[in-house]
Amino acid sequence: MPSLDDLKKRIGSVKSTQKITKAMKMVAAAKLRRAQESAEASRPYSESMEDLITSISSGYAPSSKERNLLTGDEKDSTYLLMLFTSERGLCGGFNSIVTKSVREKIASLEDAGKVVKIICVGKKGFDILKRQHSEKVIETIDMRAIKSVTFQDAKNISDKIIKMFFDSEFDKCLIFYNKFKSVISQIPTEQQIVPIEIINEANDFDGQDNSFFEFEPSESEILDELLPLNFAIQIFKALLESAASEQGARMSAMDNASRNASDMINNLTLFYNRSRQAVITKELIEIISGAEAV
Amino acid sequence: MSEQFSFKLVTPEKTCMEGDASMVVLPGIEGDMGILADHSNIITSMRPGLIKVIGTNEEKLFFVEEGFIKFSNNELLVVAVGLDENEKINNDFINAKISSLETNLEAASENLKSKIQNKIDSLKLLLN
Repeated sequence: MPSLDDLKKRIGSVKSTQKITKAMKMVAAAKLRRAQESAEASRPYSESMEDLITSISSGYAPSSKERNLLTGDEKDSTYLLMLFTSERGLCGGFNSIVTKSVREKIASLEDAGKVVKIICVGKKGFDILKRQHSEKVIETIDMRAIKSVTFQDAKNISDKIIKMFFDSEFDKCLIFYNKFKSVISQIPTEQQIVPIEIINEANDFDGQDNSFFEFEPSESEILDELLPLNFAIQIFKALLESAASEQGARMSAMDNASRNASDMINNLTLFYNRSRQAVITKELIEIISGAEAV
Repeated sequence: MSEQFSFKLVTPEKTCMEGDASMVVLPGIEGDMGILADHSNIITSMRPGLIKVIGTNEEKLFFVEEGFIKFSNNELLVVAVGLDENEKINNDFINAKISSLETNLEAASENLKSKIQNKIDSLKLLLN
């Protein structure tokens, strides 16, 4: 049985841990609000972008067989997986859930005989993957210096990857990130961005046909500019959603931790008081039996 | 008053403007274009320049670095990158943009160089 002093110390340490988790929860809540706002503010843009691309590509078939970001090319031997995770831990299942879906994807792609390359955005994803797949990770992008993500950050990443695409380093690109749904729910999402998956809405157009657009300059020239931009915006979206999810996950994880800590403090205090009483009773008995013996 | 059409201007960070306009002047890649209600459906890209939005009783100016527009069913959608609102636009601002593009130009690959050069040229035209 631990001594009373030990128990006191333990209660003290749990209390100070609880202080830390409470503080972290509050910090996450403040950051979450900001991250959520910027994630929501960027949604109209990516929706508009999808709208534009659907409008253009529905009536467009690439004339040449050249490599392009819209249709990729016929090869699909090399897959690039991009994993968006956090730079810091203590955020519950946030990193492991999304990494798990990457692992499953790697396994299924390897079974199909494909070459897999991985880019980790955020350190934690790499930490989880490095034991099994370190040779596949071609790059880890450090986001520690970046406090709030700007479009320029996303553009820097996307420029690098587009260059890799045209250097034929991969054929298909998939991104994995946590989509922010609410504080308690983040959905690990897999999205293919090269070639673009176009949601075919052709069937539910209400009479307005998209082939009626005038293009200035030509469709292909517009696409040449639009597609890299779309690529950047998809990455931007993933970064923002992931940042908001991270704070949400951290907030609920820290909330749980604080609650567990107070449960633990209660139990320990109860145990401490009982032990204290037991010691007093024991001492009394000793005194009484000592007095009787005289 | 002329007819109105709905207008929406979005950037990666936020929706900058949403509302009705009677005319919007855009720096199209092949020249400035003014869009009025019932314009034919069009999709085009933009060069660096000024977007002028004429609403019912106000006018607004934006500077845009690049972007795309789509007009259909009396809805104008402007998808912009590098947008700044009116107050900041002066020669210093444009010169700063030009010099940052010039540094990009040195680092850029061959096929991008002409694009960046075009951008610089259209920015220089804005100087007064």
